[in-house]
Amino acid sequence: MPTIYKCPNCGNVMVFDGPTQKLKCESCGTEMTIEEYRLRQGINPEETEKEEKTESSAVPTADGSMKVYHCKTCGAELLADENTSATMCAYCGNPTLIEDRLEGDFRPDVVIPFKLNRDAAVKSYKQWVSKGLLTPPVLKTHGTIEKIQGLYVPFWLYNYQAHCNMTANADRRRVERHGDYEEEITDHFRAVRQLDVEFDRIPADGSEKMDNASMDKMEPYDYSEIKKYEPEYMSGYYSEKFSSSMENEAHRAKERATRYAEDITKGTIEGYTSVVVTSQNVNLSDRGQEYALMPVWVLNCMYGADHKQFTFMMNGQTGKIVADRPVEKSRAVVLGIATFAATLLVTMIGGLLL
Amino acid sequence: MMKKFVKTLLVLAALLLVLMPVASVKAQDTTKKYVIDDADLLTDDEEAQLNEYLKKKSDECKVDIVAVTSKSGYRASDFRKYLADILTDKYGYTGSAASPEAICYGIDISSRVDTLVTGGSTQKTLGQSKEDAIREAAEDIISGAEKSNHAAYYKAIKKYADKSADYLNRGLIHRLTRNMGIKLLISLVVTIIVVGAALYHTKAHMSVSDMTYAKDNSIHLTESRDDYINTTRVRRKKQSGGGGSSSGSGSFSGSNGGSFGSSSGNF
Repeated sequence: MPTIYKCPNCGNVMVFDGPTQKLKCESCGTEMTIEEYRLRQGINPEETEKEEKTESSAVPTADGSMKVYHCKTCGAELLADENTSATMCAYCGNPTLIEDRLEGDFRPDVVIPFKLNRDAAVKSYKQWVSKGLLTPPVLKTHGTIEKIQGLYVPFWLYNYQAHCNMTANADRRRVERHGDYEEEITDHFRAVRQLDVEFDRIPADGSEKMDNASMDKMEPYDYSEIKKYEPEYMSGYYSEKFSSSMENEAHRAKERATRYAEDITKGTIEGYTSVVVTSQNVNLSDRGQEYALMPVWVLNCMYGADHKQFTFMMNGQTGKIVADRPVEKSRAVVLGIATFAATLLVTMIGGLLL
Repeated sequence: MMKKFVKTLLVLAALLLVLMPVASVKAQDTTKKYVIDDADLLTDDEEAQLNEYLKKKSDECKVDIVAVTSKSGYRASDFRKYLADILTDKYGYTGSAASPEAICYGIDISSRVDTLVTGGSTQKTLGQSKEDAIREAAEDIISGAEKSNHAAYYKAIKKYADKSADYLNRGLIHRLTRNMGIKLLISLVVTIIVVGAALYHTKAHMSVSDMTYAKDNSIHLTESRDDYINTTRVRRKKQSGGGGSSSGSGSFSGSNGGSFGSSSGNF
């Protein structure tokens, strides 16, 4: 069932504002915390949860790939794929939550709310795209920039206790000089280490749509700002429920935990010129998982005659940008010719001074 | 009719008077010898070819480019003075007799000394480093060459003329296109760097360390042991550097008081 958050003063829709971390009415300017809003509206979260769990107004489309909901503001049809949990009405533009995809098994444990708003994302994108000399101009147009949207991406956060055994050959080298000769003296050691370390909230995204490598590059998130999930944080943004299970993604977190444990253990073998690990073994104990939603500003578009895909992503909390800057070949050729001609001219004129 | 004839004669006479100095200069130019091969290091054909070549280069640069060979066994200082006197007496594209616009490369086959002498503004135009560069370029070719090796001496004098002309030719086109190969190479390298830099973009990478997700104070080293195995020793001799050689150079005054630049060496 779709849900919207109406302003207690004017009745228009309220959205979650990143910079103030409050619900904000873009119509009358009213701002209030989630707690204040609930108090004003007399909402009891537990009761609401029970009611909405039993109610769903979705109707599948003919091919079954999408579901049809109705916007609570204007009544227009909302088309959402099987994973969408928060979206915008294409007619009135109001944010709408599909609560049944954010409840029960799909209810996130925690969320990092958006901290950077759309203006900040657009500013960052403009700065980033303007630095590309060879970037296709279409990516700098207003129409493209308007496509930037805030999306809560589903993540699994894994906790592990790691125990690492390591053996390494460690050498300590020094050089002594005697007259015309020098002598290289190497002391050889065998280093043995056993180490325990606990890892907290190693993230792995639970979305099949998002590229895993890009999502890994979004890190780190600042966990000091992580919050218990409340649906109000979703208002004004797109959101997805997980499409890849916690079990499916666990191997990514395990690989990282293993590598980190090895690196930390190797780091304790200090004071040597060289260290060569001869054997290592890491045992991981599962210490629980959490389902989280992380904020990402995303811009997807096609460019060029061959419709190449371009994706720009920015961490909605820290502002870290993950994107490959596209290159227009004709611009590269022009730049090359211009640089060659200019350099040749400078060297020729410079030759006159010699 | 007679008047017309007289007028024509007068005009012709006037023309003759005007053109006479030019003809005289022209006559002087054609008699100027740019290669004086007293040591017979060149064949007659080679000498004639070089004479034409040096004259052509001299005209391009507006500086007399002269080559002299000798078998008198001059020491470097005496050879410099000898060449300076020759320049003062017979050469100079422009400028006064005391400081002729000329450059002369001398080879004494008996003492195996080679010397470069520059007069007038030529010595300022070139400077010591270029004088040395011109002489050394020619000297490299004749180094160790026998007197009978005409080809080497021909090649060395030609090289001297080319290098001198390269430095002395003040023509705009020549100066713009001088060392064109190097200029093209520099342009290519700069282009590769600029386009490469534009193509390269700092791709985002994972910026988390092995400690990012490690819980505070959760690291416990339960065993830490470093067992000594043995010591190995490798003994080797230290490396030492090499040396080099130098040649004489500097400016001096000619017998008539004019100032000349020079560069001398042995081949």
